[in-house]
Amino acid sequence: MSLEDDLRKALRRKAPPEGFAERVVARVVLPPAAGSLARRRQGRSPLVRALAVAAALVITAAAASYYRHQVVQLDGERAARELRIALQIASEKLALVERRVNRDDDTKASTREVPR
Amino acid sequence: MSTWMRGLLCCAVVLWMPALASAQGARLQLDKLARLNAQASEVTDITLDPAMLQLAGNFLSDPNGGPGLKELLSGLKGVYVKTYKFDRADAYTPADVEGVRSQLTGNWVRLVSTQTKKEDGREIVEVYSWREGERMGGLAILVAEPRELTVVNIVGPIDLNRLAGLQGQLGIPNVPIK
Repeated sequence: MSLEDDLRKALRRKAPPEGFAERVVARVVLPPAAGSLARRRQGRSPLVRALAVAAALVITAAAASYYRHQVVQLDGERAARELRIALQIASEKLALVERRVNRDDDTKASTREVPR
Repeated sequence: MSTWMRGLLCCAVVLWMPALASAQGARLQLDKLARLNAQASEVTDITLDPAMLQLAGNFLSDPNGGPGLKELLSGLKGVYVKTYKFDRADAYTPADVEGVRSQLTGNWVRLVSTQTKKEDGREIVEVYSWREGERMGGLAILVAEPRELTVVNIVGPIDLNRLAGLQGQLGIPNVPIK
């Protein structure tokens, strides 16, 4: 068979299958199925979209603020804990100094300098 | 820059030097003690600058329910504490102690100095006060025990009696001192 014959056979006019036209018409006339997301989005009003964006911004800002507050709270609690420990060590060492000085007063064994 | 401008700048620097020295003066440089971190069995290293002190003040309640603790801390510009505990007696050298002591000159006035001979070495206890005219602008406590080295550096005015009175009141168990 020649190429010409093949082409002729392939491009030969054919009748559509039975019921094809009815099916096409039915598809065009009927409303879209429960729906494509894109079509639904197109249907939303600008006000709804603006409100959605505003709500997202408010939620993001609130979350950021809460996170910042938590960080400050943790830092503050850690600093307060460290300060307590520092003051405790300082007061313990001062108590040690006091004991040594009092003992020295009794025994006169060590040196003690009077504030200038 | 013209000559008189340079002269003016030099004068300003010279005039500001004492003020700058005073601001930094009560703060001890304790970085060299960091080498002891590897040798110590227990290290307490606390650095609270003015910003951290202010933050801590908001979260600190007075153990007696009054404003006493916050009053004691008001005006402080820094609290720095380093404590090293060792398993053996010769873990730190006299040079480590001298590195701190050598800074305690100038405006620093020694209030107390005691030396005690112990079984495994010598104990040195010293307290210094930073003087700004008539008022006290800082405190340094140096305690060198055979197995423990402690440096406390408080920058800013502090009431010694009230500080000593805090022992066992801050929610931390009172550890008896031998």
